[in-house]
Amino acid sequence: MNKIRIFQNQIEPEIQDSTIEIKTKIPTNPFEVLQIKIKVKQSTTLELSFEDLEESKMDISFEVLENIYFEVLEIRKNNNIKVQYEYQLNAYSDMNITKFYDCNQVKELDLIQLNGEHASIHYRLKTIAKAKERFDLVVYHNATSTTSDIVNHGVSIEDGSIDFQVTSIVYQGIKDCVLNQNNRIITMNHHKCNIEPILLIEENDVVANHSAYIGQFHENELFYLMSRGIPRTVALQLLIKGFLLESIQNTDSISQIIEQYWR
Amino acid sequence: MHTLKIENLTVMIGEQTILQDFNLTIHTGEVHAIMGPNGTGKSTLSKVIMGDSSYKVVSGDIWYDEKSILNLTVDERARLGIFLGMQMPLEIEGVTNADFLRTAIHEKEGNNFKLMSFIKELNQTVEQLKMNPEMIHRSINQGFSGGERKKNEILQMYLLKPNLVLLDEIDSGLDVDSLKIVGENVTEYQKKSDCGILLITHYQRLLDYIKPDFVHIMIHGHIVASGTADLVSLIEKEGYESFEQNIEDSHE
Repeated sequence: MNKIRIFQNQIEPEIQDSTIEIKTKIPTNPFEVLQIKIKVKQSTTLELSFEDLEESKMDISFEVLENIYFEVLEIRKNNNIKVQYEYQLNAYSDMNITKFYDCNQVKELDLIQLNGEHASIHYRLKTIAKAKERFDLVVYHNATSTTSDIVNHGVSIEDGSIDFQVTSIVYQGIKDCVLNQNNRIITMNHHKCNIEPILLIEENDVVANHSAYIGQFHENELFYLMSRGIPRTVALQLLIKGFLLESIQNTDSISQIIEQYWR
Repeated sequence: MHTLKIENLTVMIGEQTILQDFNLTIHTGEVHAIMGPNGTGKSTLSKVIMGDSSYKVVSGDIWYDEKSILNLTVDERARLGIFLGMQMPLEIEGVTNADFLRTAIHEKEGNNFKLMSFIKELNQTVEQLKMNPEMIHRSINQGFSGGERKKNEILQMYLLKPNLVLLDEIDSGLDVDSLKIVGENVTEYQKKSDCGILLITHYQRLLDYIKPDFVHIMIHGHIVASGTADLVSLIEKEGYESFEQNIEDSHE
């Protein structure tokens, strides 16, 4: 897997082939932010790793060329950075993003531009919130037959609170699009969390689904697990792990983060 | 030998009384079947024995080997050896069957848990129940058909080795072949383990495979008639109407 390691005002790409082209702009004054532009020219995978970052801001953009499959894994631990992402997907490209966060604070904007016909994005965000976290995600279906499948799952613990704002936009004449939003927050504390699923659709020929849930695990789920002899605390751990790992591929790094909280 | 004794149990949910002065004793080695019309409290009975906190026990007691279990949590009751095969087993996304079963058996066996023995027994039982082995690595009951869910319940029963098995409409959602597999496997487990079984069912067809020693008719939250398997033929022929009529007559 290709890897980009991001340090304070510095990046270190470990790209094994010519599938990805990277351009960076290092800030020269306090008013600028670190910029990383990634162009994906052939089907490939990439891991983004944020290392020893202090409070900082950055812009990261991806352009996925036609007919390309691109998979990104991003695991963030113990940092407090503000990132603005932009994803530009061309015709018949397919992007699969997995983000797993265990941060001190998050403020993030994701702009997804589905520019070419049949472009599709599968976006999976899993976060363990210990402080205030806000995610704004806007999906523009700019071409016909495009697909967006957005899953945001968060668990709020300690002083954590989560705010998911997800907007999917389809203008008139952009037919045959598929939109899915699945936003869920499991609250393990008493802080207020918020989900705003927004579907701005002018076109009739669209399939759109959304689901949103904020709350604790259902008692009947706990009853089922406990009825097999599993104590309540262990049953809760199983449910949390299941919730955080559902629909993503588990890795050692992700397991280590989860084990830290729910062994 | 183990004994479950339900004594003068009255149970409410909200303002509604579901079970009224209910009495029943089950010893290991015995198979009891409870039949009755919809909404008469059969499923409530099984959930209350298991400790579902949605229901309020107003009076009476449930004894397991002469100790009251009313103050025990659901998992404590399960670890005593009580197992509930549910009418509508839940889907739990993200938690795989394998993780779930391994955790449950680890909790039961503690330091005696042996991973390799567990995997071997799991694979054998999956084959015996004619289940797709791939289901073990899927989330609990996610995308399972009705029949597959019920087989999954029986799989859990086999691995947890309970002394007392409560089966709440384990026959619903099963096709003819699956009913045969489930019925034969429950009977085999009962013979092998000498466990006690409480079957809740609407239909005789399950009782073709699992032969009850006792059949009870339950109406309006309590048992109105008990007998042997012959009682089932009577219900098949006449329905529950005559039993309901008897209750009405006795009230008059």
